[in-house]
Order: sequence, then structure tokens, then C-alpha cells
Amino acid sequence: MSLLYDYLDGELEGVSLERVKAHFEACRMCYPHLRFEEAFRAAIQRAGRGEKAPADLKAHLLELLESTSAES
Amino acid sequence: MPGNADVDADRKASFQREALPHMDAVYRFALRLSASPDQAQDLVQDTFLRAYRSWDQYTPGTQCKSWLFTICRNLYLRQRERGQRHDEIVTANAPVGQASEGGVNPLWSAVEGSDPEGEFFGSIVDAEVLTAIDALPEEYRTAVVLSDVEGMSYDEIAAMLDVPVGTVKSRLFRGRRRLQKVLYDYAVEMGYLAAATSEGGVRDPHG
Ligand SMILES: [Zn+2]
Repeated sequence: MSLLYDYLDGELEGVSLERVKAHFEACRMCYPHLRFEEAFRAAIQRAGRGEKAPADLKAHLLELLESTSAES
Repeated sequence: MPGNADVDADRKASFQREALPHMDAVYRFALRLSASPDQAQDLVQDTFLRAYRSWDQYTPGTQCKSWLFTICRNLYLRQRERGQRHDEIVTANAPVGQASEGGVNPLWSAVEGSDPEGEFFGSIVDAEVLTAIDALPEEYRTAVVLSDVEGMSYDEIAAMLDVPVGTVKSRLFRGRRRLQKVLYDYAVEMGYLAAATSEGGVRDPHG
């Protein structure tokens, strides 16, 4: 399970990445399990990235920055 | 000081170029932290003002988003210490590498017969997913948002939260499991998915 998340989270490299990938994609148990976790992540990502900062907040912040000077 | 106006102009330009494009991401992060649009807007404003004032401390070319998130989270934690959301204190530095973290996801075993690839996740509306994320304890929520929404690496998250990588993995593991359970229960309730008749069948995939 931990290996599955390491793989999905892009934390594996080199030989271990190749070996794990080859196994997950060929294994009858691991493959759907992988797809399951991917479907979960896709839902989280879609929901989490859906919101944008309100336009008036952006405008207000730009105004504030214009009148603020950095400390040195 | 001679040339001060130029320095200010350069600083402003580099801040606008490197920091401001992350405003949507900081806003989303602030929303997940505070679960309140009003508080999130205040947090974003305070984050960028503080970031601008301390822009000289930012190392160009490093992860600007992580740097802004760190400021945002510190501001949030300070506010929370003043009395907000005390309901969600979770044991810090939970033990890692427990036996329960190996093996097959029990939830996946429950859907193995009906929806093994988790298509039900895609049927759940965004608002419901966000509600479920917001209901997680803060430590799990932050880890899940930084990894699953923002795509940050374990190392980046560990550095940002000032905890070991093993703690990040443990929080991600627990946060994801909790979230999956909540979304699964919701999908069953909504009829997107038939409830599993037996949940006892945790098996080793290679046994
Ligand atoms: Zn396998």
C-alpha cells in the first residue's frame, strides 16, 4: 500500500520505478487498485482546484501592494 | 539612498512576476485551512502583504508556492491559537509505519466486486468532495491538499510542515483513508454504489 502511494505520488525513481510500474500494470489485483486510487485523486484534484480567488480580492491586493513598500 | 526607487521597482516587478501568479493556489489553500471564504480572503491578503514585505528573504528560483503556503499556514495557525477551530486538534507526530498501513485498502476490497476502479469517485459533486476534505482534522487535511491537490513532493511537504517525511506519509495515508470512507459512504447513500455485503475480506493481493 505504501509502495502504491509512493508510486502514485511520483516518489519512485530508476529501477524501483520501472519494476513497480511493470508489476502494477500487469497484476490483476494491483491494477484496479491503482485505478481506484487514481480515481480518488482525480476527484480530489478536480474539486480542490476548482476555486479561484475572487476578482475583487485580486484588485484590492494589487492596490495595497502599490501603496506598500518592502522592508530592507 | 541612491537608486532606491529603482530597487523598489525591481522588487515590485519580481514579486508580481513570481508571487502573484500563485494567488489562486494560495486562496484555495486558505479556503481548505479556514473553511471560510471570508477568513480565506483575509488570509490571502495578509499572506501577500507579508510576503511582499519580506520578499528579500525569498530565494529566487526556489519553490515560491511552498514559501507562500508556509506564510499562509503560519498566519492561520497563529489565528487559530487565538481561539478558532479548537475542535480539530490531532496528536502531533503520530507513530508511523504501523502494521495497519500495509496490505490492501479495505475500502477497495469493499468495492472490488461492484466498482473496482472507483468510478463512483467521479460521480460525487465537487462541493461534496470539498465538504469531506474540510471535515478532516487539520493535519491530515493539509497533507492531502498539498499532495493531492497541489502536487507537492513528500520532501517539500515535510520541509514546509517541519516534520519528517515518514510523518507526511502517515498523515497522507490516514487522511486519504478517512476521505475515501466518507466519500464511499456518501456514494452509497446517494445510490451511486451498492453497499458491500461483506467488508471482512481483506486479502493479500499476492497471497
Ligand atoms: Zn500486485
